[in-house]
Amino acid sequence: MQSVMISESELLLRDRRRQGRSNTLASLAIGSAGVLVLIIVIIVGTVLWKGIPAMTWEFLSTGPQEGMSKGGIWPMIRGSILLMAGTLVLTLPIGVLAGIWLAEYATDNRLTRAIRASVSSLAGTPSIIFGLFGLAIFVLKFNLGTSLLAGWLTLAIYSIPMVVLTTEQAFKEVPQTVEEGGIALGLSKWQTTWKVMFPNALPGILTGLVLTVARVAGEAPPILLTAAIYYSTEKLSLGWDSLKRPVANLPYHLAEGYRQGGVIPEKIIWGTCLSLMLLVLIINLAATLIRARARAKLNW
Amino acid sequence: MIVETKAVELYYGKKQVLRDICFAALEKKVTALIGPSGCGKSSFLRCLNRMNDRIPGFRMNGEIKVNGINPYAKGTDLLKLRREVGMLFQKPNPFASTIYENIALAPRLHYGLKGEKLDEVIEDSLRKAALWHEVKDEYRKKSALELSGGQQQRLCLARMLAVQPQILLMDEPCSALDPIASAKVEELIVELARDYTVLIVTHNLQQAHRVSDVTAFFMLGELIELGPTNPMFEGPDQKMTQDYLQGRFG
Repeated sequence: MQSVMISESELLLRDRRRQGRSNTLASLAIGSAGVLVLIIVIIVGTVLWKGIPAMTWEFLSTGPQEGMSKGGIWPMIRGSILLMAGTLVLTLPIGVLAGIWLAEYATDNRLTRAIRASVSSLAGTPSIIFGLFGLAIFVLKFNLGTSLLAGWLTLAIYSIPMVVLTTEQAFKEVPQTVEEGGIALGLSKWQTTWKVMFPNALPGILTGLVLTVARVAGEAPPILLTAAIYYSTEKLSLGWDSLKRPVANLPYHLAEGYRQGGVIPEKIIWGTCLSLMLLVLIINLAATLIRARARAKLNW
Repeated sequence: MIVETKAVELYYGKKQVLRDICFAALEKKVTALIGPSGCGKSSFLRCLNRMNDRIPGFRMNGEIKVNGINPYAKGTDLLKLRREVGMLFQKPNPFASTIYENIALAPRLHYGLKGEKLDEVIEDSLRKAALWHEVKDEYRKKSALELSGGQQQRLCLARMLAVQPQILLMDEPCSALDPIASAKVEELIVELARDYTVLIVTHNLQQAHRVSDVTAFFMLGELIELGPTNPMFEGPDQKMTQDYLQGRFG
């Protein structure tokens, strides 16, 4: 080794130093992961520990009784599901189509750059801003009042930007060779996008939709001023007038229930906490299953 | 001449990729496009069915006629052009659907085929691509993505043939395949030349020699030599062609 101007012992020393540095970094990485796991365990553990005693079928399926000191939280669960479902219906077509437009049709010019920048900043805007916007526009200006409908619209404008971005990303990740395959067969742009690329992009689009819906399930600020009431003891009676009535829901029930300290027994609050967590978990599991099926068809 | 070009120049931004390409291909013959990497042969091939359009900074001068169509004329029906000119790519690019659906998609959208008529076209295409016997029991259910690389490439061939094109462009169709799969595709190319005009870009000189009737040698964006394959491989006119064929550069 004549060309290496370094003594054998010095080389070994350098090796040891490099190996040491590598080990230090590895332990830091493992440590950080450990901290993360610990946090999750503490949060989930606490909620499970304190929430499980409240978990009975009656708790999940009936309304509050005796000023919320007894009974269940079904109206709140129902409200959360209603809010999510309506938001999904409004968000899906607009968000997905806009994402497709950005990924496949928008030419790179100042207008589309501005649109893309706006969508990104909207996706990062704090949700309370959407809440205030919803209050000013839907509740007051359009005179919808504090209602399910105003909540849907507010949550939809809150979620659409996120769905647009994930859909755009999902389409950008479709291999260019697949797209070219469609074009070379003489398919039109739309046929290529819809029939050829969409099946490839589907798992990514679903991921985006689910993450968004799960977020909607847990957000209190957008509905705080537009749709939510603290609690409800109503029996399920869905009709057109439900659109105009406010809805009780899990996150707001939690926030307000805690703030008004003492009204709701602690056990019930923790039970509500656990229910919200389970709801989000169920959505995520369902999505993972659907996605796995969509992806199984894609195994390259 | 079924494919003819005059003085074709091609640019990607400021970079000139092709200069003064005057080329012609005979009907129902295999023309091989050979040359070192970056010589512009793929770019040239992709001009013929306009697959270059989306490359930023793409510009083209000169005249191209493919099956009587000028791809770059204003108002050219690109969908018609691409129905008549099929393309097979370097990497197999099956769609995320069943074997049947991969092939059915284009005939259904183009010609409104369905039912038995469509089934016939699909079986016929699979037979022409020598894939029928391997998949006949499961082609309606099996995902195209579960096929091996060589099978996928033959599926892409079948998919292209189902559109009933007249000219087949192949951009290094065997480069992602193992030798056995590659030999199968090669055999098919020779067979297809009875009914179709084939233009094939290849890095594999032996392959060019085996499958083609005419060879075009490209180098640094120029068409150096164009002529019948056997004479060219035995004694090319140009010194540069000879050097390349003998492996002095590449």
